[in-house]
Amino acid sequence: MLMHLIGFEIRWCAKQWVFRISLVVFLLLGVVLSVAPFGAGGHINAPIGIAMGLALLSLNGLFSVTLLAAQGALRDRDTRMEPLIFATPVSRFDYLVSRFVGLVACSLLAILPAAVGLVVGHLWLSDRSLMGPVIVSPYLWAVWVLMIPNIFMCCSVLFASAIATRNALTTYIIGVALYIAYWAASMMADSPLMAQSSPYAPSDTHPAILFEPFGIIGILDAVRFWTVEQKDQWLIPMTTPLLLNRLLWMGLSLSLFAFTYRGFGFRDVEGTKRRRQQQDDTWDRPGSLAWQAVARQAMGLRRDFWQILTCVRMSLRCLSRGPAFYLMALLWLFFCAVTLSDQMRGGVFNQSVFLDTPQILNVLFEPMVKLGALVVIFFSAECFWLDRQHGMHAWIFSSGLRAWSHVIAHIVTVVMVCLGWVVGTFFIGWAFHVAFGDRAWHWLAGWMFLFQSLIPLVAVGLMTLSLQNLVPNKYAGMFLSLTFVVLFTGVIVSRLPGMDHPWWRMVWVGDFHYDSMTQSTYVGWDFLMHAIYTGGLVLTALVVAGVCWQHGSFKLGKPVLAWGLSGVSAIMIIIGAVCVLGPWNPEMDTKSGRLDWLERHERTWSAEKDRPVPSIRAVSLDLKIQAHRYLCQGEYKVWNNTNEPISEALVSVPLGLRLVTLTSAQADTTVMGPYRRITWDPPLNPNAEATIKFEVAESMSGLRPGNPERYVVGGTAYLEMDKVLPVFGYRSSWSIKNAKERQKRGLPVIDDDCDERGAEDRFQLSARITANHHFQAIAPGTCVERFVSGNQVTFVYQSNAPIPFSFAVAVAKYQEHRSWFGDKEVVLYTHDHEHVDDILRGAVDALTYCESEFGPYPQPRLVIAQIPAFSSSFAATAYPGLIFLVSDKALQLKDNDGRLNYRMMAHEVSHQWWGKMVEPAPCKGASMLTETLAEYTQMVIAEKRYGPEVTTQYQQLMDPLYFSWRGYDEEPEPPLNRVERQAYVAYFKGSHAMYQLRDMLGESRINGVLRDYAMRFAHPSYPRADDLLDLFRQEVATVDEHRFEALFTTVTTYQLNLKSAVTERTESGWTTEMNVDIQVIGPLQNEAELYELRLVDGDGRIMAESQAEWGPGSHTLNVQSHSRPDIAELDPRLMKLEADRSDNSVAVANR
Amino acid sequence: MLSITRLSKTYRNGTHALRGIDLEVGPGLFGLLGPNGAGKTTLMRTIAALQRPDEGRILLDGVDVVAFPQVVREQLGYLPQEFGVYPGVSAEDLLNHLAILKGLTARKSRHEQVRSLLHQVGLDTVRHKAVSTYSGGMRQRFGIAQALLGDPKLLIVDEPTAGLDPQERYRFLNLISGLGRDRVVLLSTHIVEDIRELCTQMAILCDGSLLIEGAPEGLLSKLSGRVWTKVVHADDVQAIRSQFRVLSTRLRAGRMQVHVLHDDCPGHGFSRIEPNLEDLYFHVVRQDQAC
Ligand SMILES: Nc1ncnc2c1ncn2[C@@H]1O[C@H](COP(=O)(O)OP(=O)(O)OP(=O)(O)O)[C@@H](O)[C@H]1O
Ligand SMILES: [Mg+2]
Repeated sequence: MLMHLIGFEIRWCAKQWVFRISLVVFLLLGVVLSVAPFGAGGHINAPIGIAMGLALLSLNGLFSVTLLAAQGALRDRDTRMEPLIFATPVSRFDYLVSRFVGLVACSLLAILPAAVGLVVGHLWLSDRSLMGPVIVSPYLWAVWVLMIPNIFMCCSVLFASAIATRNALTTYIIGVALYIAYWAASMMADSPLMAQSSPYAPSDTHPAILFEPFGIIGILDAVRFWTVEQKDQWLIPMTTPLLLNRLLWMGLSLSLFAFTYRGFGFRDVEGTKRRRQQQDDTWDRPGSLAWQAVARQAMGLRRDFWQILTCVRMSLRCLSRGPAFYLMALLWLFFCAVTLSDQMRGGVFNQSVFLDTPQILNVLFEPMVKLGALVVIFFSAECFWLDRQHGMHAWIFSSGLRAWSHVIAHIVTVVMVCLGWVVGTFFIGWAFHVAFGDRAWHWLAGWMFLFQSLIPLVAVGLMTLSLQNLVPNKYAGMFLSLTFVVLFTGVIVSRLPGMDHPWWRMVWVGDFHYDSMTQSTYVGWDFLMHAIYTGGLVLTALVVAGVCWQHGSFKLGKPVLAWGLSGVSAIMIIIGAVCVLGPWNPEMDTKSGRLDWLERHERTWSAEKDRPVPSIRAVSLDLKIQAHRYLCQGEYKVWNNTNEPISEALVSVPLGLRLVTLTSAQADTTVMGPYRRITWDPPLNPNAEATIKFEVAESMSGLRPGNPERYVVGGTAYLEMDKVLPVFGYRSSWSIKNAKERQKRGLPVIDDDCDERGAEDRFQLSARITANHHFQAIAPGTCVERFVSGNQVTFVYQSNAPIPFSFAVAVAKYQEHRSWFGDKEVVLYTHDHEHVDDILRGAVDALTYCESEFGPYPQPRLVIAQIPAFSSSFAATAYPGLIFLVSDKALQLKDNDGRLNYRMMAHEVSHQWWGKMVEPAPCKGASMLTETLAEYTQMVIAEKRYGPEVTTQYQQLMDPLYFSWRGYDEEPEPPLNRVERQAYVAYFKGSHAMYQLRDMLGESRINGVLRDYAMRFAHPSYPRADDLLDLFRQEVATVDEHRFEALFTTVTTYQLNLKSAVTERTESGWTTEMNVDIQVIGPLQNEAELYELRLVDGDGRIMAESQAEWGPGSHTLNVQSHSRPDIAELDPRLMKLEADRSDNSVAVANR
Repeated sequence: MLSITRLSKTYRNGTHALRGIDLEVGPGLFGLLGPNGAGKTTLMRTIAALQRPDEGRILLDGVDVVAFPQVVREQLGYLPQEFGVYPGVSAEDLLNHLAILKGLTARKSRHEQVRSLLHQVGLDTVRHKAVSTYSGGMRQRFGIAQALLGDPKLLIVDEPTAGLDPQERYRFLNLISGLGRDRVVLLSTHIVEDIRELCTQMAILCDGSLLIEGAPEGLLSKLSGRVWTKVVHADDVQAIRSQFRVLSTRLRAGRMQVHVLHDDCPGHGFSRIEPNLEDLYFHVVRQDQAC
């Protein structure tokens, strides 16, 4: 009997559209995954990549399972077979077990093909050069540990909910709840898949790992400190939290099934009691109750209006009925609360931040749109099937309601659902702001919030209506819509070569990116263009659906209408496409297109590499900032700084900009591909001068991905001018950097230590910046003039001394704050008024310290200016005499002592010495000479103000950051003296290295070396990292030599383990024996080094400290103390770079 | 005036549900009789423009229903054989909703009609209860009420009395015969008596074809004097069947009453009776061997 039932169940399921479609979709997704892998492992088939990919697919499998479960468990109800089935003598066991086993079997059959697709892809499709050896175990591991348990878990949760509630909506909502659980846990645990999250200590992630149903956080946590090589080679270990997670959810699944089994009876579920049984019998008997004919109102817009209204009211009433709706609202509230409270401490190093409008809306936007899409798909499908499902369609269709009124009623209902979702979310955000928020609430941001999310959601809803119209089965239609959304919103399709083109992102415009300085999002009202485009696509879908449908509500009355609407939608698509795709450079939009272009460029132009170019001596600019564009007219005074005559030179501006004109009185210019060629006839002789005039323009489109280094949004601007101005010569940045990619394309290996172009010229700058008269312009140098004409204001800046080619200007509305450092002023321009004192104090303290320790500050003043959060790739940046701070970074921090603001200020101010006064050669290791030294300087300055313990606290934050960031680096890690772009090396490891170096040498000796270095290598001598290290080497004692080299010239990490500590009483006090195990990972692993041990009592008071010089291996040390110690610690001062410090301290036992 | 010519409908699974129906329906009640699966519902749904015929024309007052479905919908009151309702919506609300869909946008007159209809079908005391919680008969009454909304010139009611208790059935029949005077009412039923009492015209449908059509009296007169009855022992029925055309047999107190069609007295113990519609029905349907 049971086997027969299970067989029937599987056969039935196999006939379902959902099953068939999902089988195909998952197979294809597996193949896609093999071409476009997840995870930042080096190899496409790294075990973590396989595990992550398959785990994420099983997460998406949740949707199939939800639909299969709803269909399987509720089909008797949907088809009104329940009374027939329930009246048969089938046993509860047979009934439930066969349904459940059938569901599990079908879900596995529908989703596991993903793994097959992945294997197939890896074997035959993937690029061999990007792959390691193919072995079976990672696939089996992922299927066995992740996919099967996940699918089983989804099945039992959803089956239980379907059987318990016998309601599709509730089942669906519980499916969404599982998804939300994953999402919330990811937020809690800092999944790198979540953009907003920031790192936590490992112990804090354990609850999240347990709580997250899919084990994805668990595997990420298991590898969080691995390097790329390790990720490529090692299998993922079954860590305790991961194992517990798997056991917990399997156990939960089984008990849920058991629970369902116990609770199930072959009975109809009775509806819940109506609260309100209103019996207002005020229905006074009128004179005549006889039936009288009432004429219909003539057909017309007025009648249509009332009909649409009543349909919408009725649909909304039916859709919002029952507990499911409230469950969903509660769930969403819960999710918002988790997200926002996470956001509150979401600043750098998990500091609490000001919770203001941008913080709230930006963080709610993405989950709102993505989860909203799921909600909207469900409600749209329900709305579409409402009449049929409840057997009302014959009445509705025969009532005289016009088909188009019916369609419009559906559409309005969908819009209302979307509107409710978005407005509801906005007000949840507002309520949160009332309760915990800071700063003023920007009501006007609501319009952009609404506009930018409503259109995608409505589009999804209408797409769903159209699909429902074309597919004869509700669940199949929903599955198609879900697939569509997952494919195009998620990261899946965009990972395929060529599919990262914006065309494919159709409905979505990334993040919300609202900024309080500009009071606008990055997209702003450019979104309108996008809306037209999306609208056209949706209209097309509706027309197609209307033309194809025969019996139902969507039938288009007249072909004229169909043709008319097709025409309108085509026009909308064309207009939209022109506006949306217009600002895109078709060649450069996709990653593969870009790589091809770079390759072509390098092959065509690299011969020009060695041709001498003129140097820039003076620059004068006239920069006009408008609402969404800028125009920069300028003049270069150039001279021939070489020994040979220059007859021609290439000039180029960055891609995306328009070099409107380029003229020179003494030369001709011609367009050559991406370059212009200037030809001097007669040639420019050594030391001869020339003038070049140019005009560069750029219109900003909010639809392009934001460029953090160059933007104008509503008149507020931040422009890094080296990314705007034309430069001479072959652009080596227009080449492929990735070594593997170069090898694949047969390009020569780059192993230059230094940038070929050499150091940048320094020049005198004179800049006129014109903007709207509400705004203030900031540029390097001194503002010598400011004048208003009409509603425009112009600022004229002159540089105080020659400046490097990298400089930036900002235009915004500011308030001015001042402080003094000796007779030089420190001016702060901000939009937000918090932290003003901290920042000014940090700047003055840092200027004072640096001037007394490293040499005089060369500028007449220091200007600090806030810039919008659109500069998302950095927190602050320094130019000569000028520092920019990004709004949502340090300035957003709420911590009351202002330590991080202070530190950041000290760091940036010290760049006036480390970077500006001493400019390193553009070679590997350069950022050690800038960032690492700035980290050191801020460390000592902060210590002066806040005491030495803040340094240990700071190091406790730095070390885990170093380990987790390097886990996502795709290239092997360089040592400090060879560091390039790896911020985790220059900042986090650099900070650690300088902390140790100070321990070796002491502050005054370090500062002595640095002063010496600053004097010897002041601009223009362009030192390299080893120049500084040589100076330090003279100071480092013999005993510390290994330690010094380990820190600065190698990549060395440690795994220390304090295995046990036992103590016994002796005559002189207590003797504690500590057993230690030491592993050193790095080239100098066999050398002996000093290790510190410490005994403390229960209150943390130090009882005894000791040091020992040990090589790798096990060691024992006896330490004396006066009283009984409670805890023994190894390396208590964080002198060794170590990922997992949890085994570095133990409770002291009695012998 | 509804005139149907050569109407045919084949479902996608190959069922020939209507085979070239020709029918003229004037004002008054028109009864449709036929065995299960004869095509009554199909015919009615087709007239109500809920589905397209494969062939043939339906003209309502000269307007082609297939080409201009909106015209029939504007004048239609339709009670489907099977229907459901939105869950949790009260009779009054749902009736109001449907009334607006039928174009009764004027608030006052709509409310009045809804009220009187609920009264007419005896639902006024439960009008605040959700229709989904009604009993089968109550739900059927609700269906009747909604069919009468507005001022339907064409009423199509598919087995309206199924599930009604006798009192309600009479109430309905009275109501409908009152309405039927100046409008076309198409009624299908399996209760043959109803047609006799109410309908001015009737038709019997079998296997998609129209077997006979006309006024009940006229049709019956053709059988007049030819129907004989006798109460016999159950074992004798087989013998009578082999000899005569038996219209029907019915068990009466342990013995069988047979109706036989014969031009003159078939034999001893038979007595002549006035033919009723049931006799006509069996006569016509049996004749058609395909049924
Ligand atoms: N949607 C459908 N698809 C296929 N065949 C159908 C469909 N609806 C009805 N039929 C078939 O058409 C024929 C006529 O059905 P119809 O419902 O019109 O009969 P009816 O006379 O109303 O019967 P009843 O007295 O049982 O209500 C039947 O053979 C039936 O099986
Ligand atoms: Mg029927």
